[in-house]
Amino acid sequence: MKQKLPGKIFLLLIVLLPVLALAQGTVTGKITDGTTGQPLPAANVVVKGTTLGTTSDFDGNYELTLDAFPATLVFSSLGYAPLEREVTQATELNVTLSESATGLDEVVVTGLATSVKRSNAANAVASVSAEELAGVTPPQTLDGALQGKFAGALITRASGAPGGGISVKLRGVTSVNGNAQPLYIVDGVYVNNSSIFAPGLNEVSNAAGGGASPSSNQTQDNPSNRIADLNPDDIQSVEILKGASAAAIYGARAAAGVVIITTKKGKAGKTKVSFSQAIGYNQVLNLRGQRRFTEDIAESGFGAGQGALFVDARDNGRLVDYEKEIFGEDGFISNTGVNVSGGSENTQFYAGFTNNEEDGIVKGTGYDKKSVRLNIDHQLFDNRAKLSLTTNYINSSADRGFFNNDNSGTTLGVALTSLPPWAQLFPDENGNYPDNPYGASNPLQTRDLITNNESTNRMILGGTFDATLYQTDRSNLKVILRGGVDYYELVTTAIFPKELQFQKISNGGVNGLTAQGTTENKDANYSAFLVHNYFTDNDINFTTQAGVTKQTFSQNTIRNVATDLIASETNLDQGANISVSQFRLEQEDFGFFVQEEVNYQDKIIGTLGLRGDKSSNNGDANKLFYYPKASAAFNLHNFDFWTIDFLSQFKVRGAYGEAGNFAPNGALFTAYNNSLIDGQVGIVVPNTLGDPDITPERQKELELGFDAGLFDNKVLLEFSYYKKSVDDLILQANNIPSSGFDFRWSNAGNLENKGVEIALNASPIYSESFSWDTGVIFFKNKSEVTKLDVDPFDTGGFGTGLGTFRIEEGKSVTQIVGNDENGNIVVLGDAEPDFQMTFTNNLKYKDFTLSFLWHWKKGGDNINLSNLLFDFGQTSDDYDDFTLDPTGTLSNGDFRISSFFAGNAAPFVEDASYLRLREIGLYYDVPGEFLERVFDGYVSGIKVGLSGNNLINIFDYNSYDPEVSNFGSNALSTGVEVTPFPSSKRYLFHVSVNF
Amino acid sequence: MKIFNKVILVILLTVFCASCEVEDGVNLNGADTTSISQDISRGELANAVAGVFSDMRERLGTQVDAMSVVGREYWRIQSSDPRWTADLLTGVLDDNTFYITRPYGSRYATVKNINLILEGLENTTADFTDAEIAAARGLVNTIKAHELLMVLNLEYQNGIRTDVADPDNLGPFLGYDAALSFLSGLLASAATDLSNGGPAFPFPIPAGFAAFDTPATFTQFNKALAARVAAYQGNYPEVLTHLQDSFLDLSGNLDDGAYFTFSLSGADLANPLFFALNSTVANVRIAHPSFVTDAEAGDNRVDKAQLRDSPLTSDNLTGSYDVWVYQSNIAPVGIIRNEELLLLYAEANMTADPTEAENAINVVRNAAGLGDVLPGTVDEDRILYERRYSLYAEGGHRWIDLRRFGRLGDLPLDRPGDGTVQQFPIPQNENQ
Repeated sequence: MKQKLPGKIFLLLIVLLPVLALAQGTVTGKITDGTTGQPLPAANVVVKGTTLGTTSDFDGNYELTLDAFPATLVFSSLGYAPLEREVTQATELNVTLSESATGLDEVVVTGLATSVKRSNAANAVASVSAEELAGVTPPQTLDGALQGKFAGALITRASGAPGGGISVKLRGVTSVNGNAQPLYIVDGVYVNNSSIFAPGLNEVSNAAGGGASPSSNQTQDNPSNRIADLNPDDIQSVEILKGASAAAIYGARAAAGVVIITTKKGKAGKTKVSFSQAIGYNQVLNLRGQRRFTEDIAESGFGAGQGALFVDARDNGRLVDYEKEIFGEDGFISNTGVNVSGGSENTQFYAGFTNNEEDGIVKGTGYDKKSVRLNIDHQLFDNRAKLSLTTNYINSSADRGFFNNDNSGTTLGVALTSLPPWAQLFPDENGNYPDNPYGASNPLQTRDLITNNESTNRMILGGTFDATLYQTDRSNLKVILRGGVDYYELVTTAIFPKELQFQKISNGGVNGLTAQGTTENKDANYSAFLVHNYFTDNDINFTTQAGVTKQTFSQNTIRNVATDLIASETNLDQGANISVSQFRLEQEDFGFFVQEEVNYQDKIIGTLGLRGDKSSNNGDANKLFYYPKASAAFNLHNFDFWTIDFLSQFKVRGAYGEAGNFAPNGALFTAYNNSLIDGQVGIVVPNTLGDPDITPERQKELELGFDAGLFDNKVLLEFSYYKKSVDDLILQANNIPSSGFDFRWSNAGNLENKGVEIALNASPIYSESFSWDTGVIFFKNKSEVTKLDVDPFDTGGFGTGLGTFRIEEGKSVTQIVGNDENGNIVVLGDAEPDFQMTFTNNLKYKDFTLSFLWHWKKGGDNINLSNLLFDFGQTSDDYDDFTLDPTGTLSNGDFRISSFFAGNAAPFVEDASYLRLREIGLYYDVPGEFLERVFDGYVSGIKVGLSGNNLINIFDYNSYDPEVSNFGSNALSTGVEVTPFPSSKRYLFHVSVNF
Repeated sequence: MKIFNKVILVILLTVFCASCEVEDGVNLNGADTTSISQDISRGELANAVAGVFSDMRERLGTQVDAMSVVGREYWRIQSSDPRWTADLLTGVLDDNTFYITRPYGSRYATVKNINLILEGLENTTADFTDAEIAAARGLVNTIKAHELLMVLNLEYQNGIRTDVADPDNLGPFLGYDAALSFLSGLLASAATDLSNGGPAFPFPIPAGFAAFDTPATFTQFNKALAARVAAYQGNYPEVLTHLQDSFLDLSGNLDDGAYFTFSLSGADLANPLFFALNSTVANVRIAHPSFVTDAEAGDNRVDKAQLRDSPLTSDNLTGSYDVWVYQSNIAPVGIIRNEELLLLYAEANMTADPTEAENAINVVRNAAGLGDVLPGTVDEDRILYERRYSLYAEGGHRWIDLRRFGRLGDLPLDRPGDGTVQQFPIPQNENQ
């Protein structure tokens, strides 16, 4: 008997198997949320190894007809850990999904139309969730909110002026004169991130000497970048593709990385209403301080008679701390948000309205933004197709003050440098401001009377239609059509009334200046993709995608400046002298791509892809540039041989990709500028010689790394090493000036970035009443100019006497050079940090949550010229200290001045390290039972809290804040400081209510 | 079948790609330089010449300031740029700093504008007469000589490039003497062109050149420049020859001549050499105290410096007088005036014909409210004095004059560590 049993079973199986295999049946059931016990709509149920599946309905119910038993059903939903259950017959199967603790199951974007589970990804794609982005404390702008949240970025705020102006560099500098800012894509819409300078400011400050050039669009007036318009509250998640290895499929615009933003969508179910309000204030982060004046100092520093004036002011209590006077405001902050989401089985919506108001630390500055969003998803054709529409309207207005470098003594920052505390600049009872005898402008008057406003009206619309063209057990084919438009009108207004000290004719002024810049920007993108999924018998999944994309860009800026104004009129026609300039840009790109992804049982995941792009911005508009990619990930823990228990997950991954970066607009051409003399219009050569044969820059990136999950994935370690080179670097290099052109565009070099990124996340404690999540990120980058076909050249500074960036073969891209005390040009520093680290902690005790983020930037140097200007103005706070001169004979102020005279730039290059508590938030969730009792079920949640930004800042940098950039967000040279708008810290109180 | 699907897909894509032509980008923001150099039209010539006149003024302020500061005519003080009172007074000059790079580049940009016109005139298919082409060539070459002389004044013995038509193949640096010879020849050939230029230019002439608005009268400007070049060469007979054909007029207005003009409208430029009286350290030109103290009693040219309400101290320099040569932001700036020609005439006659030299000097002195010089006293010192006060703040004449007489050592040094400048360095980017 015993021996025969297998035979009998075998027989039985022979008989039964066909029955089992042919047995058709329907599995039904209900899916619920493990935390709330509520039904979970729109969860996915898929037969493992096939494309056969369905989604749960409004009430969490599902029904799935199976062709064969047994089968494994995989239940999943975004944000929940997936669950597998085997069914052997038609049955009712209720499941409960619990929220995912590790994030390994979230999906990350790998192609233009597909995504992959993080645990299968071959790149370290950084993700920032809504909670991480804006959950601790509400950020002012989206890009600012990314600071410290992921590895591999150097994010620098150019100034403290409200309304943005932020540079994001992913994995080092990727371009010297081309675009080095990532591409932003919101729900499939390519979103414009231009920084457009306002007319009128340089005309007054004369910071750029001969004038800001519309073609290079580089100024020192710190225009904001337009990503500031996006409302962080609407964002569900942000994914950052940091280099070509992940972003190759985005092709010719992706070399600086891609930031993919997904906004919040509605879910089927009960309509949820949520209201939140935050109020608070901001304060200057750090003041430079005042020089300790004495009668002697006043007399020797400011000239005969000033000592007496000082004594008189001191004895009568009339000394004024003008730094506090200008930067001492507590700026009021109010953020209000309301959103409503919900929907039926077929149609879901999310509607949100946000109003942000934030005053600056300088009177008259501030930022207001209103954003309205409506996202609609609609399923049609029996859920075989889906239409998604996203709409966003933004109205913003930023009053940015008047700061940074100037050559006319008119900005608030420069005016302060030579202003002693005994100056009496307050207006009289009739509101007349005295002229400042110590400078060209009275900063109080300038602050109170000028206007420097940027206002935007912006509409971002996107639509996606995806449909399943056919579906079988083993394969399906989807088509995805996508289109988007980003339209905005930016109006800049600069008004300098004629009463201003420097506008008075008697002081050589132009009797009032009013300027208006209007930019109309329209970017559109269209794409079509086909995605084919195919499962083999032995659980190999092939995903093939192919598609075409087209983008058009159109920008038209008209700048008007009028001077010699009629009375206090500010319309452009109310002036005697009116000048107009116009800058237009039209570009059309076209691309296609194919990608093949193979997933072998979640063990080996390989991808191959190719993108081709052409653009009207290339020398040959119809030449296709190809960008390949290849990647592989090995989930070693999914193999049978894996026996290391404590390593619950171990993935080894490698990815290679190429991506491009276009030449800046105009680099192809040598176009005349206009001139005027004696009423005769003329043409004059530009200062840069174009190159009609210019080609895009090409980035090649290799990324290698591993992800390890320890102790049931309670500890996750992610390690990545990358090496990326940029070939055909587009340089606006120095040209031999006797040719008539100071600069010339050319493809003239290569650079390389290498770095490591390590992220460690752990949930050491997780219990009902107390939980603790913590994360540490460490990253560093080193760059080198590996080839330079032109002579070394300086960029983004004020010459070797003051310290400047220099592009030089074999050297760091961000090296800072200058003269030493012997007049030799030596390396004085490097803007690249040695490394950066961030520490994130979330502590939850019962209904209290405490979250905070420390950010440590170690190393990285600035060129700090504020000090020198304050020294020349005899007002620097440390003028009389003796900490700099190695011989101890000169005071700091005298030492810096004498160094300057000796041509020694060393004292102006300073370590810009900082450690700061970027974000902290403490929240209390009012308990559910209490709400139930008091509000009778109408209120499902109330949360109150306190939060802050930059509350603790530790740095040894001798000015307001080491995070600063005189040249704005687009240039290579962040970290040059010339009397900026100081940074601020913020304190906020929050309340939010969910209905 | 799957493979088949994919093949179809790739084919479809390829077809789609090929059909999607992208048009070549065009510059929407201005005419390309080749539109002039390849074939200049009548209208374009007027625009291009107006551009040349306009571009001559670019960075003029920087150049005049730099040369006036090293010549101790005045101090330029700018609180946001201390290099005016550092490098230029200590004499330790940087070869990559604005005071040399900006004027140098701007002058050569004008030369580039001119070279493009010259190329366009060669290639033109427009209905210009030979006389019109000659007139245009004569005018732009005269201006080219002026621009190159401005650079040479800065570079002195370092020399300059004169052949710069092809950006990829620039000519060599010529030493000071060779460069002056080149300029002399260029002016001579321009004069020949002007003499064949017919009765009128085929384009309008701006107001600053109103006295020279025909090929014949423009020749007088050309000859005035030639006289200046000859003086720099120390060739006095040639100075006199050129002056004969220039607009020198012993009984004429000293201010007759050619000017840079300015206005505030549109893309026009304001006078960069104007600051209001009693300006602050933010931006001011303070007359060197020696300009006032060295003046002869009664010399009304000293009014070119005006007493301030209060003295100004900056950087260990204290002065009580503002430079007051240009009294508004649209005041014209002289390029070359009758007053300079009179002084060149005096200088050239100093040894050959002292009486004629005295006559010329006396015209200038009388206009300045001074009496005649004693007979037989017109010497180098006299010439230098009169030139110092007559041409104050007009283009670095003081520095150039002391240099050509080998007397830079006469310049007053104000602070310990200050020094004199003989010439500006060749900009770093010339790679010399």
